[in-house]
Formats: sequence, structure tokens, C-alpha cells
Amino acid sequence: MADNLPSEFEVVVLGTGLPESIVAAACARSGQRVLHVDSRNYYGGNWASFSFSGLLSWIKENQQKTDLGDECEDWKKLILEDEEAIPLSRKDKTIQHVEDFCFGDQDSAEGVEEAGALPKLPVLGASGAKGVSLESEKECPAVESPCLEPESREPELGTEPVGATEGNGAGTTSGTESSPGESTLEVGQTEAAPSETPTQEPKKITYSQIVREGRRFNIDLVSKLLFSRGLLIDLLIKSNVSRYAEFKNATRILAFREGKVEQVPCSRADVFNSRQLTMVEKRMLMKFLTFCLDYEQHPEEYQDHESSTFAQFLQTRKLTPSLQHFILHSIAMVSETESRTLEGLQATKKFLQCLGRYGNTPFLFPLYGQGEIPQCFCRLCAVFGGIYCLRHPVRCLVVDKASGRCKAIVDHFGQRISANYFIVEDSYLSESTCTNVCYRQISRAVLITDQSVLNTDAEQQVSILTVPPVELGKPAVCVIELCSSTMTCMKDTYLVHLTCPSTQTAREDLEPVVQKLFNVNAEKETENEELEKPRVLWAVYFNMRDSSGVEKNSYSGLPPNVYVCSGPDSALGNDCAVKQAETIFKEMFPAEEFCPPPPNPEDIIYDEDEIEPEESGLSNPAETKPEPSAEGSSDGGAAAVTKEE
Amino acid sequence: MHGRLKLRPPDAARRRQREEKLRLYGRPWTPYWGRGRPPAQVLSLTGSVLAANPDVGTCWNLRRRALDALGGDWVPGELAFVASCLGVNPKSYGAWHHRAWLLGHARAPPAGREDRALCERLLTSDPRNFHAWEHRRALVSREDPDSELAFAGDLLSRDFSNFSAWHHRLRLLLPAGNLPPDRLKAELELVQNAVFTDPTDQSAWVYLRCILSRATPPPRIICVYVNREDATLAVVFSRPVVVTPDRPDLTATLDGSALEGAWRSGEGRPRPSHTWLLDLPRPAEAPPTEQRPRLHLGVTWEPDSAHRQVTLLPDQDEAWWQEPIVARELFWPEVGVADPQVLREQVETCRELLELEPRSRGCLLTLSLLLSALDPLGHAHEARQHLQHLKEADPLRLGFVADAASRLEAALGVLGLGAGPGPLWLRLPEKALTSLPLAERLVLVTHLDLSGNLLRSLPRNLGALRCLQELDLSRNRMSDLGPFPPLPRLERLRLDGNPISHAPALAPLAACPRLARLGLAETPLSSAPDGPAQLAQLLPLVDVAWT
Repeated sequence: MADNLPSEFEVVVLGTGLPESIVAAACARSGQRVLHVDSRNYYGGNWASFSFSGLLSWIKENQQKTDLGDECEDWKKLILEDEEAIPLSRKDKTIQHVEDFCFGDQDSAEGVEEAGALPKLPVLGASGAKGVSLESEKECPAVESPCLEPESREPELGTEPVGATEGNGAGTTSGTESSPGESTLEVGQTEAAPSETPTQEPKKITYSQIVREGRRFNIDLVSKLLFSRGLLIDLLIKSNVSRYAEFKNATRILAFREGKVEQVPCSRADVFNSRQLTMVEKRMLMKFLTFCLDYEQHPEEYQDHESSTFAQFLQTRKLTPSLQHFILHSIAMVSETESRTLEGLQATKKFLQCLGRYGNTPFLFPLYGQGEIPQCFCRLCAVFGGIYCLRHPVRCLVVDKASGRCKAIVDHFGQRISANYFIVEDSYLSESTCTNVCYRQISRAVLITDQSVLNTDAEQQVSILTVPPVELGKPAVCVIELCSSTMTCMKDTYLVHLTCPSTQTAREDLEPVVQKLFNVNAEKETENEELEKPRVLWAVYFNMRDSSGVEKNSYSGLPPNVYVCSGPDSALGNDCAVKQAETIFKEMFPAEEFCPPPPNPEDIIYDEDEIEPEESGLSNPAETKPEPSAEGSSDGGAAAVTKEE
Repeated sequence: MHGRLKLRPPDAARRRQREEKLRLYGRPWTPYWGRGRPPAQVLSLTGSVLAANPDVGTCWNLRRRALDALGGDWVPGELAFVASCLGVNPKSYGAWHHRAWLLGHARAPPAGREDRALCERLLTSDPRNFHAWEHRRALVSREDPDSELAFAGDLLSRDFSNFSAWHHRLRLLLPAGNLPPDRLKAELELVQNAVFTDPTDQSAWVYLRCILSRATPPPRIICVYVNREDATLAVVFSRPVVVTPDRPDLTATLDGSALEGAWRSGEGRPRPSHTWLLDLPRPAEAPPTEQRPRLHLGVTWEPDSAHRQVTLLPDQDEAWWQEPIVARELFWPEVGVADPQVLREQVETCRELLELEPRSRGCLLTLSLLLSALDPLGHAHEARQHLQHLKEADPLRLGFVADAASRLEAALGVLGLGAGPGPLWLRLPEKALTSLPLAERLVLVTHLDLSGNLLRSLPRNLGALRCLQELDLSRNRMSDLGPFPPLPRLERLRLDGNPISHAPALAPLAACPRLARLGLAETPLSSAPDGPAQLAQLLPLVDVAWT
């Protein structure tokens, strides 16, 4: 089946993370032949989302530090004399210090199976995975997932128009005159989704229930939100990829102050409705926020404080301590000790500009998890002819000695696939390539809890909370709490993501915050205060490599036509990935437009012959005008004409 | 090229849609007009057109005709059809009208729940859909206002810059008359939240002024004045009224017997007017002073059955009855329903906000109105100051602010007036007046000094000034006199320094019987070649001072 894969492409992309997927989509969209492969058996790399059982096997895989011994070096035979090989890494080393904890009765869950689980998908376990995966690959074709197959492109597009014209009819016809994006990106209104019955007393969720309902979970490895005026949203709208995904507005911004979780009023409506602020506080907060929206116009207001920190600047603005806290940590989300005034003002402005586009907070969250987004771009790529291969490790890059350019890759079957451009995700590069690279780390924790950190009347809340650092020099921790209507966790549970740049291992970084916000004492009846806090049912900590911000020239020995995409960064938004993808695309194809809007499916011509009658028809509109009686059969009529010809 | 998509010309799909639409519209209309068509057919034909474009009024009319002819209960189905049309154009006049017609025709009026849900849906997507607001108002007019208040409150909590929602609240609350204190307090709190959140948003300020106000009181008699020499009875009202000559609401009696004769307006035209005049029977020959009869006059205003009496003693030339002046009514007729304590609290809140936002125009205006309503004379200085700041803060509405300031000055002048008899002076020079409000309160004024103001015209109700002898309008902006009413006692008029350039502009003065002196120094007319001659022709009896 290795023979099935064509051996000539224009662009080969290794890794299905967000930046790689965007580049792949952009290349396919501009007509390049794209091969997109991933050595893993799932899409997204470190951007992926997992069901509960999927996450458990991911944890297992990353906890087992087995080295793959050097095996067959057959591929070396394929390297010609005038060529040189850059070997690629065989093992993903981006995840470290994985520790998972179960705070319930784990034993009772033994033997419990995920409901509706498929009969044991071949999970790529690290130990002895070699044999298993090779075997399984022989059974199922290398070209993955039928819906992404290039052969299925026609039915794909053939069915699409129906939905697209009905649902988006207004958007496609009138969209060009006024803000096309706004109307087409639909924010999912799933308020009433899964929890219809109000639960009087919180039900006790057990570990076995979590396992049984494991498919309800979509647990992101990276926890991000989309700024509603961020680059990713703009790209989703522009490229029309947004049609493949649904979004939900983050519903509230929280702050952690003096040991308590409070809601931050950030929009005009919030300030108006807030009961915690006094009248004067309302005015001062609004006044400051209004100023931030066009701070550039009033340099006299902040010039004197440009050299001081944003926190100090806030102190000069007649804001009460709680307002200062809200602005610094929850709105600007900048460091108290390091960020200068201008940085804080910029961050605040960005936050405020994003307000109100889709709702009362500046953030959107993709239903079914962040892992959907890379897949949406892969889908666009596939629709435009890109070929996909998961579980497809690549052995090396082949470099032409004379020109110094990369010519081809050699995959694990020993097939040589040549192309003009190569996009490689950072984790694919071997240690020898990355010797000079200095990586940062991200500390992550994922918790499953039984209630929200701030209970209100409305149950289904998507909250973002910034916990300021406990000690100086530590980073603030970003907490995102997802409810079950985001389709990322089962009913009556909340999925909590904690993220911060690492200073130590993830657990050391994040456990203090977890203990402050949650009750981690499994069954013990503790003080009342502890009881009010949400109970953690299950938790995992891990460190993820942050390869963003690495200059290309710090990789040693990479040919100019090999581009490196970084893994996820620790920032809240996705701007970094989009910027990177666009930069790479522009370097490869400076003349091409980056992800232009796809054509109206009705306008795509599949059958070459069809052009003829259509064109003649257009030159003579009177003829094509169907008779009123023959409305329904006009398509058939057109088909008949083609046949006659 | 390989792999490239082949596309139809970009507009092809859209063009095809448009052509299809055009074909539908361009279809001959004659079949629809046919009278003999069965109603069902008319309904389906018009339905297909209206579903595409609900603004074809003809189709709605045809549809109504067909429905009338149709039996059975078609209301629910038709309501659903209109709802789908409103989905196409939520502001279609035809569709909304049809819906109202349908609800009027329903035998058993359907519970308004669906219609309210429809309005709610449309108002959520566009909070300014006035059709939906109007429809909703009609629906809920007979119902418990609490759920509606919650609905309006919900819309406001999403975005309080919503005049319609505030208005909806006002309409729900006001019929109840004076608000109970706790409800008023809740409303005021809501407004405060809004104005402190965004003092530049005018919607909440407007609501605040409204909620503190009352419905304008009906017109009533504020003054009855009779003058023996003019043999005229003048009745002055608080607001302009119409007195129809053949069936007057206003009747007068002289010594117990009804007075005959037609009422005429003090403005010299049969329109709503503050002043209405009635001629008294005039003895053929003026008797000597000591033999003059004692006149007892009575005036009745039917709408509020008010009866006012004036007695003219033999030794008197004039007599009057005047309503005592209520200070806060003069300032802003709308503010002042509330308890002074509530007003004082609001003043404090506004002052607090003003400290934070010294240039908030809603705050400046509201504060100046509240201050004048509370204690006009005591707060005059502060109120003037706020209005001055308002002029600076809001240059786009200078005229409005100037009028508000003029009202303040005129009202203060009225409050400072003495009560006759004898000469009564009102001096308002150099007050930057742009208008002269409250003229109906100046019936007894004999000398009015308006020099050095910014007046461009005089109000029509100047006719109420039955005693005015001297009027100083020098150094204003008047280029003509406009509808200058006939003033019976006016003797001296100064128009020096006004941009009057044509003699005909002064023609209305011919109706003032006693006018003897006219000052026209430093006017363009004085230097015009034939100005003086023209004027002499127009006003032969008037002594004109050109310098």
C-alpha cells in the first residue's frame, strides 16, 4: 500500500498541529499538491483533544520512557551519493513530568468500559508499538479517515452546497457588501444543551462514571481561547473554515482576589448590571476602559508613567484596589512586576476591542475542544486535494549536496517522496538539529471537577480566571473552566485547564493554585470552607515544550526550503500560530494570496464538458431562463444538453 | 494547470438568483386581479409572492379580500404565514399591518403568547425594531405590567442604550399615576447604574427626567383681566387652547347675564392661543368717572368647570384675577412630580457624578433642572453656571441650551415680579435671551426691558401682555417683528440696533392703537434712502426716532 502514495508533491507537511495545518490548507487552496503526514495516530500533535480513555493512553505513552533502539537503517540505502540525509527524531520528547491522580475510588472502575467505545482502536502504545502498528497499518489503508480522502472530494463538495446555500444563503449573497465575516461565523447557541434538569443536590460523580462517559470528554492538550478579533478568527472567517466548526462564547471573566473568586465586569453591560461595584467605581472603571480603547490619542495621560509598570500606573488612576486587580490580572492579563505601562495599555485595548463582537466577553471557545481547529484546516486542505496520512513516521530529509536544498523525504516504508517545500513541526527534528535551540516549557494541569469555581444561577458557564502569582517572579496561572455544553466534558462535571509558563515541573508550578481553588481531599469531610469548593475528581499534570519564538537559524543544518513550525505557546490566543503559518506561506509563495475565501460551491465546475453550455448560456441569458413550468427540471435540462453534445 | 479549481464567472450564482427573483416579480399581475378567482388560489398566488417579498402591498390587500371570502378558521395558519414573512423582512409595514388586522379578526383572540414570543425574538435580534415594539405594546396593554417590566429590563441589561426599552418601561409605569416610592427608588437606581456606567449615553438621562416628571397638566385659566377703557375682557390660559366661536367652552357673564359676542384670539388668528378676548358692551358715550357702573364679570371654563370672578369698581380702570405662581411649575413643567426629598437625593447623585465627569451634558442639564425645580431663587447662581458649562460642553446644541437658559431667566423674572396696581417693571437686559418664554405670566407688566439680548423673534403669546406700555427691544437680532400681536396699551417701542432693513417688516405695529414713539436708531432702515418715507406711510401717527 506504500505504493499507493504518490511520490511527487509540491509541499510535504510533517505534523498536524495548528500552524502546519494552516500552511497545508493555504498551500492546497492555492493549488499546490500537498502531502500532510503525522507520525501519531491522531490529528493535531500537541494541539489535539482526547476523550478520557484517549487521554489515559496518551498519558501512559508519555510516562513510559522507552527508547526505541536503533533499528533497520534500510532507508540509508536510498540516499544517493550526491545527497545527504538529515535524520528526524523518532520519539516525541515534548511532553515531560506527566503525573495523573484520581481522587475517587479507582478500583471500582476496574473493568468498566467506555460506553459505545469502538472495539479497541489500535492505540499506539509506546512499548512494542512497532509491531502492532505495522500490523494494523497493513489492514487499514495508509490514507486515513474516509472523509478526508481526496477521492471523496466530489461527494463532499456535492453535498455541501445544499447546506451552504440554505443556511448561509444570506451570508453568501449579501455578504460581500457588508462585513462578510460577521454573518457567516456562527457562534453556537447551545445554552440549553445537555443539562435540562436542574440538579437540586450535586450528584456524586464517581471515577467509573467518568470512564463510562469517557467519550463525552474532549480534553485539550493546550488550553487556549480565540480572541474574537484575533488573527485566527479573521482567518477562519476569511478562509470560510469557520463553517467546519461551532463556537461558544466564554461567558464570564473571573478574578481571584483575597482568597475569593469574583466575577469581573468588563463590558459596558457587565458594569451596568454589576451589583458588587459602587456607582463611583462603575464610573472610574468605565472611564479607564474608555481611555484604554484609544489611549494612543491621549499620550498626555500615560507619558509620565511609561517607564513604570502598568500596576504602578493603575495606582495613579484613582481606581480602587479591586478595580486595579481586575484590570491588571483579568483584563490586561499582564504581569504585575514586569509589564510596563504601554504593554498593559495595549493588552487592555486588545481585550476591549474583542468585546461585543460575538458576545459580552472577548473570547470564543470551539465546541468539542481546541483540537477541532487544526482538523478544520486539514479538512480545507483535503477538500482542495491535499493527501493525509496519519501513523506515518518519516525517517529523514534528503538534501541535495550541490544545491543545499532539500529534495525529498524518506518515510518509514522506505518510500522516497520528493517535493519542493517541506514544513516540519519542531518535535520532528532530531536532537542533533536542535542542539543550539533553547526551549521554554509550559506547565499544564487538567482537572475534572464536580462544580464550578463560582456557582451562579446560570449553570452552563465558560469561565476564564487568572490567578496572580503567589510569590514574586512566578508567572500568573491562567485557568479556563469549561462546562458540559462546550462538549468537552460529561454532564455535571467541569473540565478545568490550568496553564502557565514553567519554572519547575508542572505539578510544582500548579498544585498550589489547585489547592487554593479546589478541594483535593478526596472523601474526607473537612471544614465547611473546603466543602464549598469544587471537588477534584481526577487530575493530570504535565510539562509541554514551548518551541515558539525559536529563530530558524538556531536549528543547525536545515536547508532553506525546510520550514519549521513551532508547537503551542503559552499565550492565551492563537495569534502566534497564525502569524507563523502566514509568514511561512508568504516565504514559499510570495505571489499567492493566503487562504482566500473559497468559491461558492455552486460555482465550482467538476465536469469539464459542463462549461460549454453554461458559457453559451451566459452569453445569451434569454435562452437559459427556464420556463416557469419547468422550474424543477432545469438541472435535468442542462444535463440533457451535455449528453447531446 | 493541474489541481486548480475551475470556476464559473464569480457572479454567475448570484445573477441566477436575481434573474429568478426578477422573473417572479415580472410575472404579469393581471391573474391576481381577476375577481372570479377562488380565494384559495388567490392565497397561494399571493403567498408565493409575499414569501419572497413581503412588501408588495397589493398582495396583502388581495389576500385580505380572499380571506374574508374564505370560511373556516384561517387565523392561526395566516399568523404563521405572516411570521415567516417577517423573517424575510422584520420591518415590513405590510406584514405587520396584516398581523394586526388578523388579531382583530380572530373570533377567539389567541393568547398573545406566540405574538409576544415573536416580538421578543425580533427585538432580540434588533432592539430597535419599532414595529415589534408597537405590536408588543398593543398586545400587553391590558396585562400585568410586571412581566413586561422584566422583559424591558432584560433588554436593558444587555445594552442599556435602548431608548425603546426605556420608553416601554415608562409607558408601563406611568399609567399607574404617581409611582409608589419603592418602585420609584428601584427605577432611579437603575438609571443611576446606567448614567454612572456611561454618562454620555443620553437614553438614561432622558428616562430619568421623564420618570421624575408627570403628564403635562390640562390647560387652565391663570389670569382674567378686564380693562374699562379698552372694553375688553381677556382670559389667559396656562397652555394654548382653542375657543370655537359657535360653541365655546369658555363663557362669560356680566352682572349675572351671559355676555354675547365671539371670543377672539389675542394672537390675532383663530388658532390655539394663550389669550382669548371678548368685547364688553361699550356705552355710546363715556360717562364721567364717578358715574361709571360697577362691573361684575364671571368667566367659566367648561373642561374643568373653573369659575373666576372679577369686579371692576367705579373708580377703577382695570381689574384682574391672577392665579398664584407655583415656582417649580415655571421652570421645567415636567420635573417636579416627585417628593422634594427624592429630588434632593438626585441632586446629590448628580453632583457626585459631575465631580467625576465635569463635562457630562446629561448630568449638567438634569442637575440644572433639578436645582431650579427644588429652589429656583436659592439655586439660581448654580443653575446658571451649569447651563453655562453645558454650552461649552455641548456646542452642537447651543440653541437648545440657550433656550433652557432663557427659560430660567424669564422664570426668575416672573418670580421677582411685584403685583399691581401701578406700573410693573420687568427688566431682563443683557441676559443672552434667545426666546421669551412665559409671556402668558406677564399680563400685568407695563414696562418690559429686553435690551441687549439675542432675540430673533417674539413669541406669539406676547398678546397676553394687556398692560404693556413700553417695550425695549434695542440691540437684539430682530430683522422683522414676525407675528407681532396687537398690544392695546403699547405706547413706546424701542428697536434701536436691530438689523431691520425694510419698512414693511414693521407693518404689524399698525395694529397697536396707542403706539406713539418708535425708536429705530442704528438700524439699516434709518440709513436706507426711502426708509423713513415708507415708514411714515405705514405708521403715520407714530413719532419715529431715527437717532
